[in-house]
Amino acid sequence: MKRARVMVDAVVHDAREQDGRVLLDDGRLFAEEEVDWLPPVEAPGAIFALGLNYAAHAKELAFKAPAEPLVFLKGPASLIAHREHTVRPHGVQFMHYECELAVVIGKEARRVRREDAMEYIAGYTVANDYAVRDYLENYYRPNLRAKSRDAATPLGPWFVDRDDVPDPLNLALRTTVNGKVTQEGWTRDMIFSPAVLIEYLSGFMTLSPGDLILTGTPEGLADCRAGDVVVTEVEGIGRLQNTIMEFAPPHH
Amino acid sequence: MTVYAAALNFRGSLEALGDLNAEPYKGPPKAPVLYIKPPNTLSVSGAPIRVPKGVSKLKMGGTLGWVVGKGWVVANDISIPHSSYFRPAIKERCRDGFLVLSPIFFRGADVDADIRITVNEKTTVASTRDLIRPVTKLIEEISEFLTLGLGDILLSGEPPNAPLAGVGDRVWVQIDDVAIENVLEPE
Repeated sequence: MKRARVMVDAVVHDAREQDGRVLLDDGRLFAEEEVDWLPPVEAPGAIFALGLNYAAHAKELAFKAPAEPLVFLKGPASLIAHREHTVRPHGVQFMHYECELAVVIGKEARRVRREDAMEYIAGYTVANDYAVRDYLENYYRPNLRAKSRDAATPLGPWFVDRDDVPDPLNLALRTTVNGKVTQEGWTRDMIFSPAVLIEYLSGFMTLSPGDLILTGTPEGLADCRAGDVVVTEVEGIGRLQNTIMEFAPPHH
Repeated sequence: MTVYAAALNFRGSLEALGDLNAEPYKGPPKAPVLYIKPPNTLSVSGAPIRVPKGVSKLKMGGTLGWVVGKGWVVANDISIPHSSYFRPAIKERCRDGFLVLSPIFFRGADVDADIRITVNEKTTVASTRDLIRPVTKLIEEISEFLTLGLGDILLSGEPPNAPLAGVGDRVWVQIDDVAIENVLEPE
């Protein structure tokens, strides 16, 4: 089942997908543009994200593929929902989207073996893990200023139950900017699969229900400008829309 | 509630990294160097600090933390010592129980604090007057891109002389008259 959290007339509802529409818990049916979306995971705990987890993307960024997962953390303040806006800071040269399969942890995980790891997944959603490359420095890279910015991580629209995704390693990822395809890839090209990532992380720390793992992005990055409509889509999981905005610089 | 922390924020911390203009850093940091302590790290005074297998010593990162809208905490921001700050130190900093926090207490934001870190009999003292960016300055620079919400915590940074401790050691971190105390045990 595809589930969501949406707001209608300032009231938060659980909802599910029905024939491409949004069925509220009170039985009302809306088109997706008629509701205000919320991130599908309420109050997430840890938000893990992966760098360089697709071989071709690592090459694109002139890095060799890592021998160990390159994990970084993001703050929950960076999460926003489907059909919201992300700010491009004024004066930056390169801000790009990253279309990613997001894994939602379903139960406490400690020292889980990869062959058992799928049991610890509640389901999946789509993330757009924006980066402002101008702010990347070489300290704890990728750093929070480049990655954990307010509203820089659209998430959703749907949470899809694990068992409804029989083969999470065979999904197409695709990003369009203003309708033009700019990024395409397959989850099968991930270097470290969700199961391996759960084994890795739970090997040294405890994962909890609601923790998120954003599994990295394939090649095909492009700069996004104010007004651009960016759609990151993972086959069978969802189509996540976001619009870039920019504020005028403050007057001093 | 999210815990953010500043790294390399004490005078002397950057110098300890060696030549900052060489690989991999290619220059000193411009913005505050930050990391997140995820919820699994949260612990309290009295709880054992677990030393992972294959690790002999842990760094006792005593520090002053600001709780947004509420007050201050004494923190022991524990880590496995690591010399490279190039990649996020998740494995080194995010183990279960690797952040001991005191109850919230009150103090003036502009008053320098002595951070006393005692391992068994030996006490190391650092002062927040040696912070490269005081808490107010960190807040200004961080909140430019990241909203610190009510109850979020900002740790101001561990001193470069933060002591090491191993299994069996007892450690105290004290600021003003507030202290946290923990014993290190094997995992």
